[in-house]
Amino acid sequence: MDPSTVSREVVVGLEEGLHLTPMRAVTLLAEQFTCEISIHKGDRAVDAKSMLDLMTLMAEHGTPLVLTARGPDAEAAIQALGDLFDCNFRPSDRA
Amino acid sequence: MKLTDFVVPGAVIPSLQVSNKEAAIRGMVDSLVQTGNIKSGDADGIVAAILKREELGSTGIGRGVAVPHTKHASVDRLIATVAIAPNGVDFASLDGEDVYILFLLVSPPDRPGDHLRALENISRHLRNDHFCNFLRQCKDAAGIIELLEEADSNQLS
Repeated sequence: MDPSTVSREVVVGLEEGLHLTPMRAVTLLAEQFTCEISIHKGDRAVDAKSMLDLMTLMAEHGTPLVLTARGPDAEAAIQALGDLFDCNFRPSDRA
Repeated sequence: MKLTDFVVPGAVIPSLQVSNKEAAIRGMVDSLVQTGNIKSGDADGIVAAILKREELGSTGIGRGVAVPHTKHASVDRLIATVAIAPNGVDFASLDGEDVYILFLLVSPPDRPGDHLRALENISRHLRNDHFCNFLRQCKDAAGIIELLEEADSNQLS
């Protein structure tokens, strides 16, 4: 694998799945990084910086996803996004 | 799930003339009251819930599109309406641009999967520039419904 590519698996812990509020949290965080970030569900991949892309993911509670970043700040991006899933989007997710 | 499974045909608004987000949401909810899909006594509560949801972060997702929504116990299935705002509405969107296409969703509290499926369906079509352009050009409700049916049967590639 390209040394600048970083991946990790997360699971959607939100009872209501990855709905619009947490999607927005993902895009806002992803946009802080210059690397390309994709989110994979099975063999599908979407751009983590695009709301319209994320909306097509349909990730319900318990869905395993793979976060992949490629670029100079990939490691920091995956760390930050992984943390967001690990803490189940709290405290910002109140929808 | 198809667009025409949850968009209420009689409630679509081909030319929404409003000056702000609250009026847009009110107009769309009232339209669902007129078709009998929402009881008039529930309209205020639904508008308030949608506005409260907007406070958490705008559902203006960019590209001139907003998807205001809420859960409400008064509906027993996911319902939606579509509005075209030819003059645009300031929705405090993520990209700072006005909104011209609105999909308003009301879903039962116990069906989060349906909500995600509807978002998937709407966004899949909104990624298609033809769909967005044709939608904004629709002059009447029949034209909007026809376009949704064409999108459902993948005739807009």
